Amino acid sequence: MTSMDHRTLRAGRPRQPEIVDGELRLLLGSELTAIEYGRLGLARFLAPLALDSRVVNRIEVIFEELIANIVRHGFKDMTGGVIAVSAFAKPDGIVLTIEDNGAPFNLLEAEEPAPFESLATARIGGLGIPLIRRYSRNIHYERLKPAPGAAGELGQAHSGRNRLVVEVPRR
Amino acid sequence: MGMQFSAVGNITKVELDGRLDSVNVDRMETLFAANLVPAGKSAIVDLSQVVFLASLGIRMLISTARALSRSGAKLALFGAIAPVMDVIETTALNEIVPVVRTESEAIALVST
Repeated sequence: MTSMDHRTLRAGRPRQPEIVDGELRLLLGSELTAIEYGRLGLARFLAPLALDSRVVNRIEVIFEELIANIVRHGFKDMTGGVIAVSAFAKPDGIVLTIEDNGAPFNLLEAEEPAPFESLATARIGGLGIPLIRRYSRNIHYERLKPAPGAAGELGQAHSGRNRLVVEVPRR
Repeated sequence: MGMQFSAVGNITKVELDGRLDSVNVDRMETLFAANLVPAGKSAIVDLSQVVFLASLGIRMLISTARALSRSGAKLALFGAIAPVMDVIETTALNEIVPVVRTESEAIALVST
């Protein structure tokens, strides 16, 4: 997977999804509409793989939860937010890599909401985390240094990039 | 995302159509709650035309069910397709908000 570089960050604008050598590459901006834009690109990538509809839905849910979280929280108080998404198919799974230049966020350390005990006490924040964790395997997170040439540019409040890799089983 | 409200006796029925994702929930959540909560009547939500559900949609449903319960009203969901039901069960929403297969089951639940 091609990591974000300074050209990607400087671009800062969504580009048409590309599928190169069987790998999807997407570049998304920092608005909520980026989710829909990315979803359509992802759907085009997944279509020829003839996956079970339940697996396709789980991949879409993971994508939605991760991108929405970055857009809503990771890019708060900054400009120039960029998300690079790539995906490829393995024999037994689909691997998604999401890299963004927002605030540090390690999904693996995020607290999962407590199990519901009653309607009155149910915590309604963070419900995306159990969905991502239960639908995927081999989750890997890194906080990377800023992309070359990007430090101090674009009025960023944060230094560095998040890189999250998740794999969704085909069955 | 489409939303239609109607009455079934003293119960409010909501038919949702489309994707309950971040963008759509952002747009519709206030209207959804505003049409249900102030009236304080029990409600049923038809999910049969909902093709996608994510955590913000879950949050909207829990918040509304909770607000209704404070007035002594109930909320039940029905008709979820398999991918939507997968999300409902994974988040355990159905442990605090009833989810049934048919409209008549939902009506029976909120009428007790």
